[in-house]
Amino acid sequence: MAGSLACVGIGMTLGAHICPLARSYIEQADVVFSGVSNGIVELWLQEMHGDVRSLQVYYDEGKSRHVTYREMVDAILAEVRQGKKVVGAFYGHPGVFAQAPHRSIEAARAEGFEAVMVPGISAEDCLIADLGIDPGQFGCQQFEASQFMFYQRRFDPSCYLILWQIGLAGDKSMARFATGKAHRQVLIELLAETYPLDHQVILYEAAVLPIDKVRKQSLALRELADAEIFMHTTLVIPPSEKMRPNPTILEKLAKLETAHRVDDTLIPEN
Amino acid sequence: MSNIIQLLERMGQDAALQTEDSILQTIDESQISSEQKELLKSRKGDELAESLKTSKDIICFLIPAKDEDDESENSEESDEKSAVNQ
Repeated sequence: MAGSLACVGIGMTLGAHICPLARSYIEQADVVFSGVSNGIVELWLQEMHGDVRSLQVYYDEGKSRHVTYREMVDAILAEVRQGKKVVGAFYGHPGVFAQAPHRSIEAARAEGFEAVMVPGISAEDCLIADLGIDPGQFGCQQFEASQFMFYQRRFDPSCYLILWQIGLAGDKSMARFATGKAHRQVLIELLAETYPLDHQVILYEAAVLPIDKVRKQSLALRELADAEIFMHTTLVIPPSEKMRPNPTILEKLAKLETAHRVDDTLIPEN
Repeated sequence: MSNIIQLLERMGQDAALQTEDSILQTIDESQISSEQKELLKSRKGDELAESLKTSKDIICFLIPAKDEDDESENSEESDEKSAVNQ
């Protein structure tokens, strides 16, 4: 029998977010690999399937996460090649800020296997609901925190800025599980080129267990270095400036409107 | 499904269990140990995980800040590949 792969999202909160299709893929799989953020969530997956293998074993302090992610893909693909129905069950959305699911699906398809991704409710989805923000109101940009620091990103202080994996901000080694105050201070200095130091930012953590309290802590940008930051903490920076009109484009559009009106008056009535 | 995991799943997916009072009542009526009831009521996820012989926080980073290609010496080719991949 031909192997197949489904990378499914189980959402952020245990029990609350998994969709019927994701659950069905898990229940009908030959083997399930789990990439989740909480041991109790892994136990929940184990209740759904008798052969759940944690991808947690591939992480190690001091080991490059590039290697970790490659090993995850290799482990998943090895089972697909054996003709099994393989599921990768990932917390949140399997395609959002997640390299291993994307690479696994690409590799499986390249070898001729069927491979699909089933979306899940992501951390961003929860953030929008919990903080009551609409990314369409002012726009929203989001980056992995370290990537935001390593590269000269063009970002707009008139929209929301979301930085993920803030607990690892500035990690060049790709081998740590956390960076600290000094690294965050560098990030603060970078952000302070654009935002006032007293600008209010938000530290956000979604509920993973139904008993968890959502974290939505407001603090000044300058206080970020001393704040308590975990692996799953996200930094949300609301706009600090008003959106600025674009007069050049507005003028072009006004000319177009005028031209349309003239055209309309030239159309003969029947 | 074990009672505690079943209860957590219900708490996650039942609209009637989204208020403090209904949660407390359901926990009281559940068939789990009194120790686990107290951990749920006091929202002690870490200790609940310990009682289930697992860990609350496990490593879950899934995205690298830099693509591996960026580490290679042939930066021009790498940049091109990264751009195509976006």
